[in-house]
Amino acid sequence: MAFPITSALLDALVLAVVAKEDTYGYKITQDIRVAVDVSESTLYPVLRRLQKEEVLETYDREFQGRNRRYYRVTNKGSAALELYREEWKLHRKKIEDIIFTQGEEHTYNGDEANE
Amino acid sequence: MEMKPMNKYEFLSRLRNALSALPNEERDAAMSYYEEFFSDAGEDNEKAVIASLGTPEELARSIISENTAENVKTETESNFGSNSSGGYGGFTPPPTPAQSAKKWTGGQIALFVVLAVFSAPFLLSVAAVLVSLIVAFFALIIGLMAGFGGGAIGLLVGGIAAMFDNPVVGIFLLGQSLILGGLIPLAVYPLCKAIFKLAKTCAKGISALFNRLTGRKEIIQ
Repeated sequence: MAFPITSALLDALVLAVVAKEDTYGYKITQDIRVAVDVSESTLYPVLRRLQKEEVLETYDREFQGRNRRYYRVTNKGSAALELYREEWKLHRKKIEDIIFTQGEEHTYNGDEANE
Repeated sequence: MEMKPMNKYEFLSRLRNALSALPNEERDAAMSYYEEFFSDAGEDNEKAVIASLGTPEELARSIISENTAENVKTETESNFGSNSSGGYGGFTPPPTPAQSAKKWTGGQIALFVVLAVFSAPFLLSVAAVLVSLIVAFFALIIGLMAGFGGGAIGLLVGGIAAMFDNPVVGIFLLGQSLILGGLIPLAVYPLCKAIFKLAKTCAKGISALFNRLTGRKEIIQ
């Protein structure tokens, strides 16, 4: 992975994954590993921290005769995710403004660059 | 590497042991998470999961360090403010593991004292050489000044005395005296400069030597 992932970005990814639907640890890990190269051991501490910061909460459901702990985004978590999305758009624009405006031939055709 | 492959029960029991430093609540939460993780991964993926999690001890370390880092953090400030407005957001750098402050143990201090005592004869002779060099240089300067100065004064007195007898010779001698007098700062100034430069180089060399000595000592520890 050429671009290392920061803990804030990882928080944002976890929030977004859980916001889509309530889900459980193993699934969250797999979903995030599709996009970024984090080890399987990275996610637990993040989930635990997000729980303590009350942006995620958990509930238990029975699944195939055992317990499964599901994560859900709190109201505070939804607000946090919105802020992350805004921050990310801003961040992405700043980066892309630099990366895609080197010369005429490499002009980026995204919405932001056409203003 | 492990001699025989670990199964998930061994992995989990080693993890539980490695997490014994945590409060019960934290340890139970981590244990049930990883028990579930193995179940959700399925038996087919058991080996792969174990391989990707690292050793139970490494895994425990990452859980514990995040736990303690979080305790410190909640005391000061959280990523997420008490309400949704304001300070939240931004791209915070990943938490770094707490660095233990560098502190000298009793053994290190004792070793330093022993080193200092044993190197004293060497250091003393170096100091003696330096002091005698400095004295020699000052003697040189004073000698030069005295030589030139004495010559100048002699010529001055001679010139004044000769004035009465032969004014031309007298003025000539006075001129000579002035030239000689003028030579003093001319000769002494570059010499002083050279000496200061030498002294600076020496000082640098000595401090570099000390740095190397102390540096090597730290590596030994």
